[in-house]
Amino acid sequence: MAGETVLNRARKATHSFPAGIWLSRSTVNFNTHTPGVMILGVGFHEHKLVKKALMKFYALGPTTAARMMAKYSIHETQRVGQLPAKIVTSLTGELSTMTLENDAKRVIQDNIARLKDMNSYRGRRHAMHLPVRGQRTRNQTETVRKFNKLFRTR
Amino acid sequence: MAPLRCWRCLPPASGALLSIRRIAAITTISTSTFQPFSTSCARNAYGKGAGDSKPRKGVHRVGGKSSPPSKKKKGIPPRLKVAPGDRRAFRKRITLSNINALPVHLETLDSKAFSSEQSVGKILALGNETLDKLRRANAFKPTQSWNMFRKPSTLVRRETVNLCSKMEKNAQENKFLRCIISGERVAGKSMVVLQALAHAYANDWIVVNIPDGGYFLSVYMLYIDSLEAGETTDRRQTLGYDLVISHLDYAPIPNSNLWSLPTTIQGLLRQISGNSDLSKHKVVKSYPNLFPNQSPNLTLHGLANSGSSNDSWAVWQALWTELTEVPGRPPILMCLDGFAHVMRMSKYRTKQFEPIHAHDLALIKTFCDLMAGKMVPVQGGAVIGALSMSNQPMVKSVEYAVQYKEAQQVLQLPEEELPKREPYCREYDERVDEVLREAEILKVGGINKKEARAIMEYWAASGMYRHKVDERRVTETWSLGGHGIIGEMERASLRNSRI
Repeated sequence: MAGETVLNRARKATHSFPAGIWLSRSTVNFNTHTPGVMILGVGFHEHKLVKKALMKFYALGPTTAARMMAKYSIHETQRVGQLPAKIVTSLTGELSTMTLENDAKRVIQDNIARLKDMNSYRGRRHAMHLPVRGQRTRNQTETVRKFNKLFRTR
Repeated sequence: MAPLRCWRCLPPASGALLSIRRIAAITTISTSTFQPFSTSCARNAYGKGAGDSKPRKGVHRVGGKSSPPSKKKKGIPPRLKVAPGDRRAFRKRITLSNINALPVHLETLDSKAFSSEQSVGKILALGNETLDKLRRANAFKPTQSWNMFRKPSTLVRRETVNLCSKMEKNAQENKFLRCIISGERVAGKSMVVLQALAHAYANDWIVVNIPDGGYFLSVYMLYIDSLEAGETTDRRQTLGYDLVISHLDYAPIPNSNLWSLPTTIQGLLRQISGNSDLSKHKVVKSYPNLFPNQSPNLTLHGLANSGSSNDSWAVWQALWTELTEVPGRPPILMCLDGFAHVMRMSKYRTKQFEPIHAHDLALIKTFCDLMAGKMVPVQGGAVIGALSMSNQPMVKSVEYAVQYKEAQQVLQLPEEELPKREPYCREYDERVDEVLREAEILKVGGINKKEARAIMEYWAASGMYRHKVDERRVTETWSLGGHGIIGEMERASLRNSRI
């Protein structure tokens, strides 16, 4: 459709997920012509750095990515296209055992919901979209309004 | 607004046809040039014009609608994009000739020139064959001023003759020279290494050169000439860029604590097989794991070339065994510039995420074993490690070893005046101490005035230095260059007068 934005396409593509949970925009591969290398069902361009590719998964940060790379003797500038198929399979196998993407988001949501259910101060602050850790609310609460929600999506 | 072009570059107004557009451009420039003040800050505060209320990028915007993106102007050709790697290739290019420089007739390097006392203070040209070999060994650096002269030529200094005569003497007696080159920044340490390499090539030695120690540890510095690999199809591959960051793979060596750098070793095997005349020597020992049906006519050249198809580390070991343990082979020279980089922990990690010591990388272990005297080739030769002062990591053990050896060997101080270790410092590394314990030191300092005069006369004869070279001028340049530090002398005179 003309004028359709990338984000809208992502929203449509993921409408079947539970309310409030989207696939993060970064992990969805819109380029259907060149899927590249598939890691855990996500296509990455072969020129992408392995470290960056791993960090595209929600809840996988630089430390975990560096540890995974060390485990398979992958150096820092290695590209996804240079990985042998065997290592791609191993990486996929290892990633599938980890709590990533929607699972990780659910964990965060559950934690917040637990705080709310016990009627704790932190839970109430989350529910009200207000700072949780004692910050002032006079100014600069834009990020808080984005993130501190009962059903957190990001 | 400042003029976009300098006034000298504009076409002459009289006697030339000026288009209307060009006249308009000149008029615009002239009116804005004579503004007594600058309005750029006020104009840049909010967008392009006064009516544009769109805040600048980075300015915090609270609420409200953002203005629609401005339309692209038509008729302006898109700016040409630089291909990935081109800027780096341009920055790192090595030019060995300048056709605008005058040719200077000089003696060409031969097998005895660098070790002869009579050569001190002379400028020698590098022969074409030596030049090709040095280029393949990546012996030239982009910071050296080869691009100013017609043909690569080099000053033979006292340190050069000291080193090369020692190398020659050791090789005659089947001994092995272990040497560290230290000295001030831009004093010419890398140039002395290059001269040692040229001397070794001229005497048909087996040469292994690692142009930069950071090569192993920094993932950005691997530089293998892809022309050697026969990859000439892609322009970027021809420049060697694709091989720069993509092939520094590492892997554990089974049944040992060592780590291999397969592609780096392949590159060095290519360098050795291309530069040295290994085809004269046949393989003596048998290597069933590499060649199940080993031909009796297999040469060292064939062995080195098999590195691309076989396990490169196994081939390296086999070649090294042949070169160091079998008598009758030519002497070996192994050089490593910026060797402080390989005397510390590397950036690689084990499978348990522990950092790997550089000495556990197998190739570096070969260098360290030679330097420490654990491995002594039967036919002799030399191992040379040069420090780099412009890119040197802080390694306490290296610093102390260099200080101690300079005091002991160069200044020849008595035992009680030699520098002591810092008693409460825990940064000393025993593995490094062990490697450097027995090494000799060669201090490269400033050149003397005779050598300074020789090099300045060469600059003048090449047309690159347009002053009369007399006693006064030589002394002045020598003093400006921190008492003959050759890089500083170049900076003070040669590069200063560059147009």
